[in-house]
Amino acid sequence: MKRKILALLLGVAMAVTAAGCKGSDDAAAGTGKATADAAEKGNDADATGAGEDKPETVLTFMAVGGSNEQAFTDVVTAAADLFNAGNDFNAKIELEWYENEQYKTKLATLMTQNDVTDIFFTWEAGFMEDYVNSGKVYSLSEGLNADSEWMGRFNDGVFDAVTFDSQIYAVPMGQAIVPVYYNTQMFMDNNVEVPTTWEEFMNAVKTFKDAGVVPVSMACQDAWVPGQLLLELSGGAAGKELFDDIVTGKTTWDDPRYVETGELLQEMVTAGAFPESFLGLAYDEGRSLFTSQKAAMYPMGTWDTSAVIEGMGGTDHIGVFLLPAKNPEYGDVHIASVEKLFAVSEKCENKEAAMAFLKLLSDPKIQEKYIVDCGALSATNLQIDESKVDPVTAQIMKLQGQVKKALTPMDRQFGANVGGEFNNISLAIAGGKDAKEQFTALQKYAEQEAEQ
Amino acid sequence: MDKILSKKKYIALFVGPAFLMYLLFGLIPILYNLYLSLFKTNLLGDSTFVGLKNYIHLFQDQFFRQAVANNLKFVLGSYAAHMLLALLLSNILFQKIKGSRLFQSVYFMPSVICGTAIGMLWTFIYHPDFGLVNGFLKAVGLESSVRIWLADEKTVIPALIVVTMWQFVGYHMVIQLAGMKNIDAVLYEAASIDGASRWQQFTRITFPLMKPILKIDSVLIVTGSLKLYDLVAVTTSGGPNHASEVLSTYMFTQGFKALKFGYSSTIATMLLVLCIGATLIINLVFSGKKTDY
Repeated sequence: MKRKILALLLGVAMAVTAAGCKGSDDAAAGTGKATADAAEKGNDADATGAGEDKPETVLTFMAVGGSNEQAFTDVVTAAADLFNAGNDFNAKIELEWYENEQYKTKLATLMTQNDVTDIFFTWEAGFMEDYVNSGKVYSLSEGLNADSEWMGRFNDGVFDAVTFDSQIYAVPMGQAIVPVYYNTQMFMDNNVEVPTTWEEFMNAVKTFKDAGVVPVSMACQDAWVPGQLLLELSGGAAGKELFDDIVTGKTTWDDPRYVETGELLQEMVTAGAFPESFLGLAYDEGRSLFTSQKAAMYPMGTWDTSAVIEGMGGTDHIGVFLLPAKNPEYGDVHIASVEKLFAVSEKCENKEAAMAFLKLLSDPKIQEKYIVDCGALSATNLQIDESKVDPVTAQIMKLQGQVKKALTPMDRQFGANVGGEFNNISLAIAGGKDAKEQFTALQKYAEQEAEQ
Repeated sequence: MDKILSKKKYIALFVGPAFLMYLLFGLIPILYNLYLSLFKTNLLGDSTFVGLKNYIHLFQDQFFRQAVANNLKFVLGSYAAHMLLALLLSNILFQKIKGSRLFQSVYFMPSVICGTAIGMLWTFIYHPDFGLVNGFLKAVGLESSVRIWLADEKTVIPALIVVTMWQFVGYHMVIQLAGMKNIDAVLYEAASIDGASRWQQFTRITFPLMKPILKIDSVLIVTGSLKLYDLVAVTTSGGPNHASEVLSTYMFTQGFKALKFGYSSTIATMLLVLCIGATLIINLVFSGKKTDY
């Protein structure tokens, strides 16, 4: 009898757990599918213009977002609500959100099945090149060129990394740079000025180290984090020329300039710039180390601004500066990428409506919300009243103007294999491996990949 | 019932649905995979027949060789734990000690928890700052042994082997215990009367009569270790710097990250070959006259 009761109780517990799991799948969680404004699924008939008695088109949209990027998710949801309320194209947007790594797998799978959503999030350069070359991405050039108001909204250069054979294939919402967030209070307490040269930066590292404070928060569990730092260091050491040379094939990965950069990273490690267990820290832990005021500096992309502010409980003690260049002549060379890129699928049956939604994402009202709520940098030339943005974002906007020569993250430029290996060897160099050996190995790998 | 089962069409009717599922979700994908491995393709329309070039490249690929080496380490570590340790535990529990049912449940429990949860749990246990392992080492005065377990190329594989040992020792213990329970108790009574020690009973009765079960269990251990994916994917994603790369994670990144589906299929084919080869070797080792008393 007791066993029967126990079995019944366990069965009920299992049923409740299963129901709970199903519930969380439907909720707007960062790892699941979230649907906003689900419209009735009509036939996918082409319907343009209002007033026609045709079934409404549902435009499917998928992107990286959800609870991990709630502020950004809310901005796009607001844009979708606006679009759906207007219903100018007899079309409604249906949103799906995915976690970052899950999204990459999802996109690749859908692309191979020729079943990608009408509008989809993408990354630039090497990431989307295969999809573009396969003819599955719709060229937006015609639409952009025909609409000078839309085209004119954007900053110079934002389309460079998404242009293939002179055709533009994606539209960004934002841009990002990789500044160093710093704790203004800790700088003041230790009499450290914001460094403007490499020597000043390394002196600051030493000062904080001697004071028992972690100088620079770094979390290397994700290899792209040290890869990002190594790329930033390479800009300051050897300028944009090195990046351009490796992209065009004029030089190889075992270029002495890259080896020098690797040695710079090791100089930081040897000086004790990073926390003791930095090789094993997760991305969120790296941020927490800074926001919990255990680390004085935190080099990270501006996509993290809102999370940093939230973690610190406000903007009071947060400042930003650009990592000083090893060679001062390269002070204007930094990582600068385009963010929140959206493309249209070639099989979208209402491309006009899809492009209208993309245009809405660069609308001044939406862009203002994006800047203010996410602390983001806009890809448009919107002049925003600085009083509307938080002080940190306002500082970042000023820093953005100092970035004259942009470096694209390696895994976006060179793809998952060679770009991913660049990140891997960055991690190995940070872990103490010889920089020359690592870059030589990278070159050998790149050659094998090229042969294949 | 005998009348029904004696007719081939009824046998086919009963076996049919399962065979159809196996054909659709097992055999056909395997054959398609073999076919894809002969191509350089991103499955986006760009496809070139390259014959065996993918296989030639695979054997020159240092990361593939590292993945195979890592998988073999998992095989050896898992085999040591799940054969020796599981056998020891099952033998102890076979002696009908007090609470043996409770212990069976406790040891078996980790194997029913999903791999993702196990991975996340052990990521915290191995955490360099607040993890249980380093905390324990510091508490007993072994600070010098503290490591960044999952981020150190030297310790990542042993650390993950410990997890697989912990996760599946109960599963294999239950299989072996079931095998032991099938042995006639009369044999043990007779052996006791003849003065056989516990060790002699184990080596002369239990172990020989369990060989068929151990053979199946060996296949499960080896193929499970070769196919390992979720634990590595959740904890290290094959890092740091490919130090914990296994065939399945490498296959995944080559396919879904690098869009080299032909190459990824080649890796899958090699995994299949390794699993079949391991099964054949185990069959050979365990072949021989069946013990019968």
